[in-house]
Amino acid sequence: MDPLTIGLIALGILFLMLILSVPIGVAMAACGVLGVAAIIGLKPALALFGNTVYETTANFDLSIIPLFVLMGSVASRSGLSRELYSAFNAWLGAFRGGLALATVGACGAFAAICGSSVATAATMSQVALPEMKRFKYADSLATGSVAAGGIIGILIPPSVVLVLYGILTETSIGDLFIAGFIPGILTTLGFMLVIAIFTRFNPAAGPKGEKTELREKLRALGRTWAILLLFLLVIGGIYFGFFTPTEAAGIGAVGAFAIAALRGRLNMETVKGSLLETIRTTGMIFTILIGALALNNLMVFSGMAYGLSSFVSGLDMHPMLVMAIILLIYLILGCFMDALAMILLTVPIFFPIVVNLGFDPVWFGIIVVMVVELGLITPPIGMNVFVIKGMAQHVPLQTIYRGVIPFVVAQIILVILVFIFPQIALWLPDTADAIQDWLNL
Amino acid sequence: MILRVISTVLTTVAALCLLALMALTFADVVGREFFNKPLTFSVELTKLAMGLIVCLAFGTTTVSARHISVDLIQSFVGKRVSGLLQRLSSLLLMLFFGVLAWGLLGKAQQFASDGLATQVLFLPIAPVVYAMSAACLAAAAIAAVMIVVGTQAQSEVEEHIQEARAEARSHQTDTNEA
Repeated sequence: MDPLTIGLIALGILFLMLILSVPIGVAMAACGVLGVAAIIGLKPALALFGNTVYETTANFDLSIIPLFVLMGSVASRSGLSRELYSAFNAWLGAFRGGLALATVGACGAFAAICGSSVATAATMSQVALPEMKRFKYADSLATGSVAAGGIIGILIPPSVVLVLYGILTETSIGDLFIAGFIPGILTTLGFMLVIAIFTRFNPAAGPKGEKTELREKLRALGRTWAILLLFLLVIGGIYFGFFTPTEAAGIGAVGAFAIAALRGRLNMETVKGSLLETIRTTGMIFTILIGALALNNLMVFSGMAYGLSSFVSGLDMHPMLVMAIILLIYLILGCFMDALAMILLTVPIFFPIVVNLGFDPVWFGIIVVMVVELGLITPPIGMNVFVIKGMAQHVPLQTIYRGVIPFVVAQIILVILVFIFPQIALWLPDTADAIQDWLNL
Repeated sequence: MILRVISTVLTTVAALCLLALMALTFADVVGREFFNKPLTFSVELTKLAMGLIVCLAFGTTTVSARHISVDLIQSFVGKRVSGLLQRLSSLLLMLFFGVLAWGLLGKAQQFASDGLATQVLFLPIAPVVYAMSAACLAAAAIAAVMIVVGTQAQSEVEEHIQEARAEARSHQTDTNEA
């Protein structure tokens, strides 16, 4: 059998295993190792896999993953979400739909210290949902804005998904982080615009909240200094090249502990809970990462990576059309799969095609993340929606999904904008490169 | 019961390594930026700590059923089939971690016979890789037990919901006390 056929059979088996709900990392590793074994023999294949495992686990650069997960996990237990929400509420609450605006804003800001969408949605919902209920917001708007606000978490740095993309494709994580910033802000503003339009036509859905005095506004803003400081330290440090993303993760984790301590939230329970969550997540991520790298080996050995990209370029389609099809596939897959797993599963397959067509790896990373994050709020499996449902049990699932629709439309429009104008993502990392060059002179 | 004990031990050691890793990274940056004294051994210690953290984490992830899968089929099949599929997953997880343990054991033996040590502190690497292999073996054992007893762990969504509720409650008591 020629290697290409073996590769295709392995992908078929992989698909079958995924349907049977085998853990994604294990399914990828099994197909990767057995596929390579069919090409170069079992013993060399196992030796290769052993090397992959050792190089992936005992790895300096990958220490960024547990450290950023720890930072977000401590931050979400430190009660910071409440302060962020009241600050945004003080400034935006008096507008029509103000509480929903504040929710989205606070989600965006919280995303700056926490890289997990589900955690953002969970911690924000317990603060924002009771407030919006008090002011008689429509259930669809209230739940929709929290669920949608959560997905900003994946784009604004630090983002675990972008880290994994960077590792898998050998793209600079620093560049990816900085590139995600403007699209993340635009998502936040876009979601706010959605709420403004929605409540303009539907004023009863989001009544105005309480007015706040300027003095109180400033005081509320002042209370969020810790988050601002942590974010500036972590992202500013990367932007100006003071430290690497890996080092930034270590600083960020220590900073999150310090903030929790300052707020009197650093008890045994917080520490234990956040460490446990970090370790579980680390084991989960590395299982998939090892699987993805094993599958990557198969893509190379079977010549599929090369075959697929030369097949696509032989089709003589316009590169933009190919890209549109790839993004459409992501959009559909996202309805059924976890964002992180999807990136690790598909990037080894699509990345060679994309690079071969001359697209920028950083831009592709950002736009893929923007598309897959939609999967967190689209039916039938939307993790964020499930979390919100758990926090607001009286609201039917359909109502939450209905509330999310306008935000999905806004996000798709934004994806199209980044698609047409890559500078939205690429401008900021370019300036960072220029500044770092200038600092080094 | 035995699962709990094994996974608590694994988790505790992993947690300590994680805290040490954090402190190490922090100290390295502070030393370099402010005192012009980077920790020359931070890279090699980070590598070893990472190897331990990740391998120790596998068992905890498995026992708490945190491995990600495509669960679409679960909503179409009955309880019996779904239970069978879960056992199939546990079986494959056992094989996966078994192969990991075996591969790392090979690496450890190779390092031991080469007498490989770290570049700055001259720490022998083999013992750490033996420990990584043992941790993967423990994860395989956990998966093996789960083939028999199935899983009783909470889902990630349930856990986030519970934590957010606990956080809301602790805020309630905070404000009441104030």
